[in-house]
Amino acid sequence: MTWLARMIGIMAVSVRQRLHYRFDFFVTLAANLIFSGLLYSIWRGIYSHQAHPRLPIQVLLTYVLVGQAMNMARFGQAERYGIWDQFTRIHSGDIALDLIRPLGFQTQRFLESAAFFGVEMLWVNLPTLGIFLLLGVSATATISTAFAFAVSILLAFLVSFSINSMFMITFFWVSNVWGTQMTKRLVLEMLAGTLIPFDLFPSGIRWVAEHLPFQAMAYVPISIYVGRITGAAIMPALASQLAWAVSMLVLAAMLWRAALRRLVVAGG
Amino acid sequence: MVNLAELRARWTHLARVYRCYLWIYGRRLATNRADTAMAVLVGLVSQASGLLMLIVLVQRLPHLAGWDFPELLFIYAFARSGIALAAIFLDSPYTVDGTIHTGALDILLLRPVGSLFQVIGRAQQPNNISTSLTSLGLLGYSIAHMTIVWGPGRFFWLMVMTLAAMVIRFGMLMLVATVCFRTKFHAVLLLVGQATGYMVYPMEIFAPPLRAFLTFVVPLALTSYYPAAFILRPGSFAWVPWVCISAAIGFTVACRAAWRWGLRHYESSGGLAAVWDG
Repeated sequence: MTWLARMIGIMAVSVRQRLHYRFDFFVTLAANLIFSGLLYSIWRGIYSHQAHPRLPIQVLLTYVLVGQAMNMARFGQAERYGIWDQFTRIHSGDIALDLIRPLGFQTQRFLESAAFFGVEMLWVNLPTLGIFLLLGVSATATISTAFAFAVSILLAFLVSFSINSMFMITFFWVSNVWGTQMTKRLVLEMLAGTLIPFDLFPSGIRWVAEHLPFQAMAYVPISIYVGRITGAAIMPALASQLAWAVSMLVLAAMLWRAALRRLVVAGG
Repeated sequence: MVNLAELRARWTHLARVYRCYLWIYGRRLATNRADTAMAVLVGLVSQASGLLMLIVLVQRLPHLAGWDFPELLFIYAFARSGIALAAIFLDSPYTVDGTIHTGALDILLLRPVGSLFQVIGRAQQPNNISTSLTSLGLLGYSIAHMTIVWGPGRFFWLMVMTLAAMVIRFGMLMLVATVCFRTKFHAVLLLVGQATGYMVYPMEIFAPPLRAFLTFVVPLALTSYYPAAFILRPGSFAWVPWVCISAAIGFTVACRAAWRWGLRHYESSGGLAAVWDG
């Protein structure tokens, strides 16, 4: 049971770290609401000028707002600090301390991320979704859809973690953290389908987006929520998310192992 | 009585110092090649993502709020180029927090040039170089595909409005940033900065209260849509140059006053950054 105590210990420390800066969560919540409001206005305005929309307005607005509330693609405060911590560890040499701990490096990062994810979900994502529901965004059609959506969000987190892990490897070469974060955010927001549903993409870009892992972070869970993926189609969608999650986690672990073999810590 | 010769000498000196800052900036870009490549990539990805959004939004509409596609592209490119140019040359609001809280401001205060000028000169943002270049390309493309005639007058207003938009954005962010003299307020600054990314569409698509908020309370619309709309349709937006230029002057004066207020209340926190900066 020692390993379990260690894991719980790391998660508890991470939760305490995040809860120490509660103001950041309020800002993230405020940012979520402000940007969602702007996006809502943009889509509503556009649709008021469209005679034959491809998606019903209620479905589109629900898609966009749920996408903003449960956004795995956009970086929240928790993820941002995780990335800065990682960058600082690599450049200060503190990563050496992580490597001698009695838990694998990737396991430590995973536990931290899982703790951040849990805290941010409780402080930001679910409250945002609750506010949207009060403002008239449609709820899921059935309890089973809500359950499938919750499972899909957990799988989306695994994909999100693996992509973040791979992205952090760039810190061995690059010190422009803001730039790398921005690039990742922009690529993910577009290709994960949080800003625009794939149904509205030009066909070529849609085909590409549907065959990349990013869609497992947002498009699949939100499509389940709004009922674009229903009934028998839900299980294959979840299975594809799981397949992406497992393969991306394995790939991330392999890349980190290779990167750490090259690591030289010059003091710190 | 203002001594013109003295004033001229002072401005020449400041221009020389600013040239030194730009030279250092250029050297930094050349030295940190991986970072520079990443900065170029950010700009390109950001532009591609914004353009894709615009194309998806208007692909089935011949007009949006009375604007056709080349005009919408112009509005988009004007807003993006203004933001990008402001970020390249006037990105200092984002560095105020660090400058104050690490004690680096102590060093700036010892130097024989104004501290606000140094804070502006030290902060350039390479991530926006490719955004500004591609935005200027998009501006050229949209101008070439418009039905209206582009004479010297329109180009003159394009330059004036771009400059005004840059100064308004800078002033707005700097006013928020000067609060860092009293508290750690960086998150709000990031919020205002990120909101500028949504100001690339015609204001008519927003509800009137939101439109009024973005024009008169947090005047992001004065840095994007309204100046572009004035350039395209001066008759319908004749009030814009007056408001934009007044806002630019007003924000400059307010910024200077806020900075002076901040310095009066500044208590050095010391710190190693001050030593390293020297």
